[in-house]
Amino acid sequence: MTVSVDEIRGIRRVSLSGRLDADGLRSVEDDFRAAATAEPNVIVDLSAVDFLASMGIRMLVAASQEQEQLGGKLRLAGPDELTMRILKTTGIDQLVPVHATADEAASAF
Amino acid sequence: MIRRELLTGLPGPALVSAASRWSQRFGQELGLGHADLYRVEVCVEELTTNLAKYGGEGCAGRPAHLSVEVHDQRLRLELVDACAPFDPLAVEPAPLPAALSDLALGGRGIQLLLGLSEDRHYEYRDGCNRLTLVFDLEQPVTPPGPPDGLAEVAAFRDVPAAALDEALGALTVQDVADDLPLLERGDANHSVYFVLAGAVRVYLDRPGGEDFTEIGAGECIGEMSVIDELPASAHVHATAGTRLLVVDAPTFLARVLAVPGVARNLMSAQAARTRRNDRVTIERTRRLMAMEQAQREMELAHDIQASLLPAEPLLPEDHRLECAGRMYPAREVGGDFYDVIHLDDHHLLFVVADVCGKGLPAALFMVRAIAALRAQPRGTPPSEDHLSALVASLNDQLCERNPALQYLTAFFGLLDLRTRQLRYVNAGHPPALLARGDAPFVSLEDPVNPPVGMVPGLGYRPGEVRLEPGSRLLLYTDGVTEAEDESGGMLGEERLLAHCRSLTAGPSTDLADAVLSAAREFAGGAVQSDDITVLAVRCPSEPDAGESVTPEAP
Repeated sequence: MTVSVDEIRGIRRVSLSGRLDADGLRSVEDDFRAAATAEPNVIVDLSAVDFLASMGIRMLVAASQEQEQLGGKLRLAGPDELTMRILKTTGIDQLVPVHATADEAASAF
Repeated sequence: MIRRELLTGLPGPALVSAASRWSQRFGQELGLGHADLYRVEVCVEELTTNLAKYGGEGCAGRPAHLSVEVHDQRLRLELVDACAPFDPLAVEPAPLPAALSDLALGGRGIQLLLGLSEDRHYEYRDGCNRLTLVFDLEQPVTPPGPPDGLAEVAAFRDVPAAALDEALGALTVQDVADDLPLLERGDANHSVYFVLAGAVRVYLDRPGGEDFTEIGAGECIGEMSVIDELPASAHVHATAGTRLLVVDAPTFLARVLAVPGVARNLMSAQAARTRRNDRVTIERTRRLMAMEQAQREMELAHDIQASLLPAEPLLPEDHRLECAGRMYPAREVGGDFYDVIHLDDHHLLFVVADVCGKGLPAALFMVRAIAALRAQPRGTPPSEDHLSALVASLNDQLCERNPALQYLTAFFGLLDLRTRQLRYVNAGHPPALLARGDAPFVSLEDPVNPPVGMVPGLGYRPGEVRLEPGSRLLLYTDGVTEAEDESGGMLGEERLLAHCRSLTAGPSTDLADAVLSAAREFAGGAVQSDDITVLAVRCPSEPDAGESVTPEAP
């Protein structure tokens, strides 16, 4: 599990890669939180995430809520079909915007 | 072949991680499609995190069991745990809040269980929560092959794979995440466990102790009690990370044993185990006998040492002086000794000594010292510097051939029985206590000399004092002053002195006994770490009125 940061069209992008299971989460949790809430507005790119379940969702929701307190917004981008299903099943997609690609997410800001 | 995959572990965060690795493994071994496995894995995580969060305390160390089984394109995931009764399916899913800020962290898990599985069932039975989720698999699965490690099982060596597959029919592969009991002694056993990876430990005595036999990969356990239908004869625990093939008793007896080669393999494994156990038993018996022999020798050494000390009552014939000695060794044999020797009709040599160290080496050194002391020429009146020369000579003798660098501290006294003039040499020893006439006890502090046996060629400076009638002298080893109570505090010289001053003047046996019991009472229940030795000396109150002083029997 890795976390990396770059910019896309002037917006901070935090990309997660690998399995967001218990072990994966432990290895990126602190770095992700720091990266995703360093400044208002962030895109969290999930296109390289192979697995997401409730522990991972918890981490994404916490970062979204912190972004809201910063006056910014967290947008999710690029989940594969199966990861999208998890977001939909929990209803998270209705409270945290999800975009097909990071590009699309960037234009939504 | 139908395979049931079982994971057993204690509820907690470690089980969440173990369950995640377990699901990836069975996904691969059962040939599940990516989308199917994803759904199942999400539910496994949900169940195990909930268990870690809510169930941990109620389970009181009882393990939870997760299992999956595939039948006709349907996968059943079951969680059995011994936590407080709780039906997650009865929980009304919380409606999604309107604002992100109102969303509870981690509160959406039930939606995952409901939304990702096709069917669900909960019941509380036999003290356990039993939750089953059913998944209709989208991608076709082929029947799984034998589990890894099966080919290495000794019982199945040279057994045709097809015959074994057919005999096993439905099998359970169990992963054990923590060190957990499989069987307790006295339990009825219904399964045979073949170790595929890791190890199980068979405790003949106390489970979790040091005395166990390890059953490693390729071996099996439980076949005996399945065959003879007797309760398990030992405690069997699996170590964390162990993988087992579990075969139920009817399948094992009716089908697996009937496969050609299996029975013979099992018997030869049993024969090897019996031989190994025999070797262990023989070795243990041999060690026990050696220990008993050593114990007997120590007891003998103790008796020999006790016989080397002068017999009580000391000096029964000489009424010019009255002496009593006492010694309690810390172990069977100690390094302390005392002695009282007439050098001629009017001169008495007495000594209390403490050899460094304890046990047999100290006792042997003590024997050397006593032998050297008793070899002193007798019968001629000792010269002025006799005592210093005697100690110096003993020092030189004990320095010779002393590779273990042993030494002793001692208090030597040489008393002229006519004049009651005492010369003494203190060689690194606690000072003697002296009560002159009716005066209270004081320490004989000076002069202090080095211990005996350390450095050859030393001279020893004597002290001198006259003992008035009624004087009492107490020699002792540091086992008295360093007697420790249970909190580690020491009796100390001050307390010893105070105690001696509080005693009424009486025969030497009383003084010796009083000091000895003071040290032992001070120690209370604490283990005695050093030999305790005292020698009490008293000059009769009236010169030549010795007849009135009758030494008491010990």
